[in-house]
Amino acid sequence: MGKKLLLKNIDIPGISSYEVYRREGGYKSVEKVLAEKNPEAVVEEVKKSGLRGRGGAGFPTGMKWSFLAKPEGVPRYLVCNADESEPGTFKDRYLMEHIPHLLVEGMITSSYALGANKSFIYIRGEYFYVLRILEKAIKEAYDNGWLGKNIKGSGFDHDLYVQIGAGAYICGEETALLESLEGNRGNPRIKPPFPAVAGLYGCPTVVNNVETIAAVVPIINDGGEAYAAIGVERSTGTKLISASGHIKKPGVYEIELGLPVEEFIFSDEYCGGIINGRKLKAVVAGGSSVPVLPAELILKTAAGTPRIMTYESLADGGFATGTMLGSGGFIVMDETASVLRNLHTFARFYHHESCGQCSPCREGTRWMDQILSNILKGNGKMKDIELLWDIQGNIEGKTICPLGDAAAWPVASAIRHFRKEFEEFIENPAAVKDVKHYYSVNNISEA
Amino acid sequence: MSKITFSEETLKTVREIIARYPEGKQKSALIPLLHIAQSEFDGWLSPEVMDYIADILHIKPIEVYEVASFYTMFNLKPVGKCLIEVCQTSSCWLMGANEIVEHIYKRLGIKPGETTADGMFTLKTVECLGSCGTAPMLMIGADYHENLTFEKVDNLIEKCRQSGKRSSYLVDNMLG
Amino acid sequence: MNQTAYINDVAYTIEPGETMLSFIRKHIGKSHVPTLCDAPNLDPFGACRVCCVDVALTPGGNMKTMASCHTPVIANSYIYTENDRIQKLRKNIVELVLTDHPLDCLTCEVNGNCELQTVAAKVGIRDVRYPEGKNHLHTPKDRSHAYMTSDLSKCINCGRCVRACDEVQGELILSFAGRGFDSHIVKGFDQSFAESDCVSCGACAQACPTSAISDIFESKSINFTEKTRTVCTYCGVGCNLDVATINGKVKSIQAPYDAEVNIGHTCLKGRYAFSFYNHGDRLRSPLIKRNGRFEEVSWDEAYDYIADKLTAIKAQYGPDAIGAISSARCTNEENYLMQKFIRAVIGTNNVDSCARVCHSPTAIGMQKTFGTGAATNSIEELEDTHCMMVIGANPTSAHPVTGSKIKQQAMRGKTLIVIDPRRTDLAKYAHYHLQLRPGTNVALLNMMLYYIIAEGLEAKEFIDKRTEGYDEFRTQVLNIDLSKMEEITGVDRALVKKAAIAYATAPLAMSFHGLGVTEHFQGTYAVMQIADLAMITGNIGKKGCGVNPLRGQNNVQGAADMGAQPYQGAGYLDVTDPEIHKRYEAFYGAKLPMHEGYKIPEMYDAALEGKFKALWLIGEDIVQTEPNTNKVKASLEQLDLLVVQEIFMTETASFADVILPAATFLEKSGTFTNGERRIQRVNQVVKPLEGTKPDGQIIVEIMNRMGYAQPDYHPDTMLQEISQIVPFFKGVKWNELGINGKQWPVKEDGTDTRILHTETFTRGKGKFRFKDFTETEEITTYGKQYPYILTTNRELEHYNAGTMTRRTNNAIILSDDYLLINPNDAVKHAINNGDMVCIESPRGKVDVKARVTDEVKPGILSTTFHFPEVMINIVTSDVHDEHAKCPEYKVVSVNIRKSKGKYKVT
Repeated sequence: MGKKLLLKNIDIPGISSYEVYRREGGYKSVEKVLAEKNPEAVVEEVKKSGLRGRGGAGFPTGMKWSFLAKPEGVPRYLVCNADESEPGTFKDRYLMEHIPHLLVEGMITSSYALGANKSFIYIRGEYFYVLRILEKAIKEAYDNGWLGKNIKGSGFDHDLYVQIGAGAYICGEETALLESLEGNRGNPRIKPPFPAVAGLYGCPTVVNNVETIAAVVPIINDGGEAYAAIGVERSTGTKLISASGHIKKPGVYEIELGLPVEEFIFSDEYCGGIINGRKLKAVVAGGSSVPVLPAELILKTAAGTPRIMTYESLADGGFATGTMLGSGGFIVMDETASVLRNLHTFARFYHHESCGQCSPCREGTRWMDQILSNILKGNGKMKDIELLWDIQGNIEGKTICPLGDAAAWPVASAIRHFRKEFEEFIENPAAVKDVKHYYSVNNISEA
Repeated sequence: MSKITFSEETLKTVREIIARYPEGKQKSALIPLLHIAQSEFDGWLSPEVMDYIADILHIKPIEVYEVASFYTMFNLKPVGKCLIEVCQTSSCWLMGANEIVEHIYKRLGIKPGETTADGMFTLKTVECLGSCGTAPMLMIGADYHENLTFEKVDNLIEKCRQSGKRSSYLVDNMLG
Repeated sequence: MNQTAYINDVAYTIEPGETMLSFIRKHIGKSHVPTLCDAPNLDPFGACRVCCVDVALTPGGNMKTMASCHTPVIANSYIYTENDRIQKLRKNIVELVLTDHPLDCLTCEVNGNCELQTVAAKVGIRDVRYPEGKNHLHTPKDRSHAYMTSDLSKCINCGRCVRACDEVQGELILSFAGRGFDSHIVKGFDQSFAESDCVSCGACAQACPTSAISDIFESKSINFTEKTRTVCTYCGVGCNLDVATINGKVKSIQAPYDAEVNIGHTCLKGRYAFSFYNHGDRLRSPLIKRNGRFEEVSWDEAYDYIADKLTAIKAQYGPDAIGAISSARCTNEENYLMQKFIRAVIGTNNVDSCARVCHSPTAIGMQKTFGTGAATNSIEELEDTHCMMVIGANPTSAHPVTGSKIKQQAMRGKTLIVIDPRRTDLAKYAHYHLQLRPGTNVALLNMMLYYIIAEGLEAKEFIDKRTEGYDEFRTQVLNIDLSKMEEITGVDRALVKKAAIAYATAPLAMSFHGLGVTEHFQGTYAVMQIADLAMITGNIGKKGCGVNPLRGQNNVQGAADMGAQPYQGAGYLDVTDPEIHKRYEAFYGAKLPMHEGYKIPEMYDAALEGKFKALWLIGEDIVQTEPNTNKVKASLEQLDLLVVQEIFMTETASFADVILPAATFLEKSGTFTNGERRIQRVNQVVKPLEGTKPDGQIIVEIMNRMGYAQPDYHPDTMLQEISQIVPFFKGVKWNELGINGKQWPVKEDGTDTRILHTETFTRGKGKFRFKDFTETEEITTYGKQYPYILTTNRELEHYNAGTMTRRTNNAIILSDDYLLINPNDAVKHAINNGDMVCIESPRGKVDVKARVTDEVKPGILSTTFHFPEVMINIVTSDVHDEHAKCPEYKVVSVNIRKSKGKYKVT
């Protein structure tokens, strides 16, 4: 059983309420930082912990915090990215729903470290019911003096609000999120300037994922070193993994980084193996945007060493044979699944979610969707594979924001590792048998 | 249609929301206000409703329209009383989302994007709602209905009919 | 230390903060890197990605692809602009764009001048590999508008139009709706151009790289590449225009990006309202009125007729029975000639210009306080300032390019104070809108001065060093009765205090004022108070501050500069000063009078008294534009000779004895001086319409006819003459004005002056003089009987009397004068939108169409005088500013009632 930091109290009845949360040691990190009165030390502690952004990019959080500009007389903001929308990812929702005060506590502690007197949690619109849970927790925090003016007599003022989105994956990109928070279309901004210099309302701003903010609580309570002691090399601490697809026990797991992938998939403590006794075919290890890997490459690297759940091990081999830890959205496909059909749901997703600003992404995501759709309908041509390859190459790294990359990588990796499936579909679509369980209703199309 | 104004009580909430933001940044309240407006005014945002919101926030109507048309949760056309949103992405698809869509089609005779003749149901397919571990799923109002089976879907449809209420993102637990 | 970066392995010096694109353009060439979403007057957008380049930190090292348009150059980096990878990328992107663009180039209006076409050719697209699919090719065309057109099937989503609308005009009419592949351009709520609130500035059409958004003139057509640069004639902003012609016909007008004044922008008057120039109504022959009818005559006959008459009148009544109203629409050189003709040939100082009815109080007021009656700073300093105070001006309609610049700054969060009886467009963006009762500027400005002093916010050091009269001034200001002033102005004192503090505490504050300040009984005083506000806060003599009158007509500054004023000759020199008199006499080689001449309103009085017998008018429709029309008409009827130089038959011209057909600004050369003292070249675009002559040439010919040798009209030789007598024109030379002109004073070596009064004031020290509020006679005499206050304003679409703009499609966009009336008042009189309202003043009555709006407060009405059908000046008053004799157009006591039909003007 691995060590749990965020979810250790998750099974305690009533943990979502203030009383129980407080009784179990909640808000200690706030007491601690307010007593020590040394915001820089908090930043140092987070640096020491080696915590990396849990939203997907994995950028060291302490370093991000230290980049925050601090011009005289200009307010600073902390914004929590709770726009969890990456297909395969539902850990933040789980955390906010079940232990909302952990996020509220993390927001206060982190805001103190950053010198922010106002912070926002930007939550995706579809999580409206979670918004209510957070609002209740925030009210409790105000009622108990953890928010508002002069918190616990420290002289530190802080207001925390939850801002609701309205259905746009792109708002998980931090500058699009800020645009949306300002009441605009969620178009990512060109960078520089980065949010650390000019973010919300043009003021210095840190944007962190829910899990990242939550992790600040145990880091402050137990020290950065204790956090860094968990995990492997630059992948320190624990990580929430959202497991879904053809596994026996889908759900959110807090794992110590370094857990072998094989153990994660097959151990009863985690996913419990593949459903119906079928074989593992492929895994999307870190949310829809990371490269899909066939069974042999997800369990072992190309060099033959067992893969473990760390940023480095999953990326071993680069995009040729590796993938990414990403947001920890772990989608498992068994031998009956069509990687191509799954890919089409991703392509449709990115087509739907592209903001439309950059030409390659706006036009490219639409064509990837359409070409894949053509292939699946039996109208594919061999040269479509090259066209798809060209399109994804035009998008990757060529757009304002990483949505372009996210849209390109699944296509590239599917072609790289499952080219045969494409060819089968194109050459003889009639011969491709869909397992009954899966969608085969061609007579239903979008009205 | 009655004159478009929020109730006094709603206006109080609206003012509270606007007060969250720094002076001159009241446009930040736009998305929260559009949610409230959609919920209060028949589940969609008519041009008149958007004008009203623009007025409240002292912005131009087009600034409302460009935003409203960007976010998929805002309906710019009328929808049925009960808006059924079925997730269709990856894990949900792997777990049978399309069978759910097909099942609803059999029950209600509507394809995604369509509304039943009695104006009761609108079916919409949506992208990942973050419920991948409990796939397949659908959403009605603010409520997630997960680990769907055809029986569960039938049940939901029946409950919606019985309640006759308009679904709203602002209302939790509307089907009990 | 200089830093370098490499372009294709060659080192170049970089400038701090510059983008890769501007770096590459500067060193390798303007079109080396293709772009689609980039435009010279817009912020980088980074959306088309066609400008991508590869960047490495070692020669040929690990490359990263970056958009060059918005990425700053990295020191010591290696930029590769056209390696294989980049070329393939660009080609693929453009190919993607072409999958949703019609390939009907041959029949497209921008064929040959389309940026997409050029880029596609440059990246070498030969075929589009994609199958059939969803597209936007069937988006319907929009031909609803008088000028603007769209064919959004050609749209490539570059967002240039949207950004032009937002960043250049600040109108927010165009936007993106939808998301991703479905995102598309909309006008308003997905309306047509005509239905939307579009102000037809055309910035979007100019910005659009294809023909997705264009105009009825098809301005981007390749055919129109023969261009002449000139200066707009519609207002004091002085926009530069690129006028395209084919075979001597004007085809379209675009705004040059390298124009300092308007940087690729202009308004619908400048860009689209040019078709008047060859309109069928143009006067094409001199006319003499005989037996009540105009007869066409030859130029010789007209000149002889005039010369004989003038000689006779001069002989019988003396030179002071003759006078002229020169034109602020004409060039500096023409104005100079006109005043020279009147002074040196006729021998009187009876020459004035329409500055009298607009900014004469500005000239006098600022002369009294500072020593120079002109804008102290430049409009471009809006970029530097922190606070803008706009008083009695509605620049988004009357000075659209300046208006949008102010709006832009306000939208970016700079403090904007608007003092205006109307909730103008700018007032909607203002932090403080002081909506005072018309005619109470002096009271309100005293309140502001009071609070600045009371709060101890004066710039003490500046006051000590640079000004005089402060102590007494301070005591008097502190003695004002605040409660009374509050009551008079109708503005809450707390709001005035906030605005005063905002103005005084801003590090740099700029003020702008218009006719809402000057066209009052106490106009000159209010101008002096605005100058006092600048001095008391030290907002003078440096960048980003100052007092900046928004001059109405394109060359109203120049008309006064050139001496079209009865008390000052060319260069503002006092005609009654013996030394100066001697200098003028020697220079003109003529005997000159030493007493001041008549100001315009004095001319009418003198005519009615029988002392004034001949008037020469250039380009002024005084019957329509001067207040108290009936009096103006009566005085014209008293004249023995009225000569009118015009381009169209006007209300005034119908009273003339002789009409001389003049050329338009498109048909002549010369210089205009804009509201920021910028002397710019007006270049002839087309030859004068047959039968017409430039005003300058007409004056020269009559001068010669009357025995004074004056060489033919040419701006070069005229400027040589002017520069010898006008001190601040010393270094002005026709061939050295360049494309952006020079701001006077221009030293002999040609250096010009951006900011006035930097070290000392022209008059030495700045002078504080307290001015107390006095109610206008109009209100004290008639206020009870006529309880409504009518004020006058302008609409964006029309210019002044509308002589030109009514003869363009602008008249389709706005075809009537409107009376703005508050809903409360409308209800009281049962008036609905569009009803005719009879306005009655002690002078007469007129009918105007109602526009019910809360832009005006109850009790206040406002209207325009663009249309002769209304003749609003029948009701305006005879009250004038006591110093400058500027009429009080802005306060008229009236009564209103719903009118059954149109009141017949008799």
